[in-house]
Amino acid sequence: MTARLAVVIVCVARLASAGPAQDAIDNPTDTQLTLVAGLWHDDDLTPATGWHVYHFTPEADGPIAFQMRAAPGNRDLWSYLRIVDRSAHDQGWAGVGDRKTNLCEVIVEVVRGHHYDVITTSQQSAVLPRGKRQTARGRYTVAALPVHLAEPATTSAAP
Amino acid sequence: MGCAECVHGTWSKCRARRVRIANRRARSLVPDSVAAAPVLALVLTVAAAVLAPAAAADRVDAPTQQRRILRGTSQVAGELTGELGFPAYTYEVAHDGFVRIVLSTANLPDRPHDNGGRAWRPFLRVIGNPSGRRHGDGWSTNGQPGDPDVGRAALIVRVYAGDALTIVATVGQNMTHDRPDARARYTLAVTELAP
Repeated sequence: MTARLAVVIVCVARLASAGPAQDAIDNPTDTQLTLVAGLWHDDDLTPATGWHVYHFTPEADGPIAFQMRAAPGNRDLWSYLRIVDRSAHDQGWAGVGDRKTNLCEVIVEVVRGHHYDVITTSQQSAVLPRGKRQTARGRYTVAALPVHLAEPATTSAAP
Repeated sequence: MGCAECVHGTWSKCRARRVRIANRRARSLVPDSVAAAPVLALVLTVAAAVLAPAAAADRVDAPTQQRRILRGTSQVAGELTGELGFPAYTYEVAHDGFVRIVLSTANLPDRPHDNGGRAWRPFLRVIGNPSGRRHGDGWSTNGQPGDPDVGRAALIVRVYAGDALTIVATVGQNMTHDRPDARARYTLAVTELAP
């Protein structure tokens, strides 16, 4: 009886010390937010929620610059973006921001009606070894911005 | 999504300065006067083969730098092999604006049934070479496997004249093994776009 009680106490103590399970690359925290083209959204990354996923469904084909910006010099948050097109074999694009400006830009030629996951995290969390606790912390802002790309003029061969 | 490493990579370990110049092989220990001492030569050859370390396979964080420089809008093609799984090219930006980098993959003509007869899914990585304007930025994509004949991956990056980027071309299959595993034909097309 005493032995069983001891086992129970140990288990409870371990659960209490472990704290809540952290989110991860394959288990990001769903913000339930849909990004609107051209508008910025502010948020925070914390050790408890180091991966945020937003949603974006374009209304037209064309290039979109997904941007994530954090405070320059914040060593706890080096902006990192991952875009996943769930409609197309999980095609993905990832980018890590400029260390000095802390601006990350991933440009994707999106397809109208496709659903894109826009995942924000920190570079440190993106390469976090399995089992390690993430330490990303800081305020950031994220947006999906339409951009114009001028295709080069095509030269037709003379007959 | 497959292997997480395919998209996320290890940027912190990946710098242009770490790109190797060549995938060098160990030197042979066979003496010049082989005809004069055939037995000795044979022994030394076998010993060299046994004792010399095997050529280190390249990998995404240690790609094999190619001599060809891509300047402005340009294109290059090559072949992925067991020895060259991660060719890296330096692209020098000619104009301010954007660049679209497209990696296409196709099965080799003499190996049409590789990957079940479908083109290998490409994996494309681009790293901003450190400069006064670029500080550790980089991008990657795992491409689109939809077309059975051609795999296609594309990245668009904002660039400034005078910058340089390192482009690594490979296929997702090579990211899942210790050594390059897939053989394929690849084409890298770099197109500069005005803003």
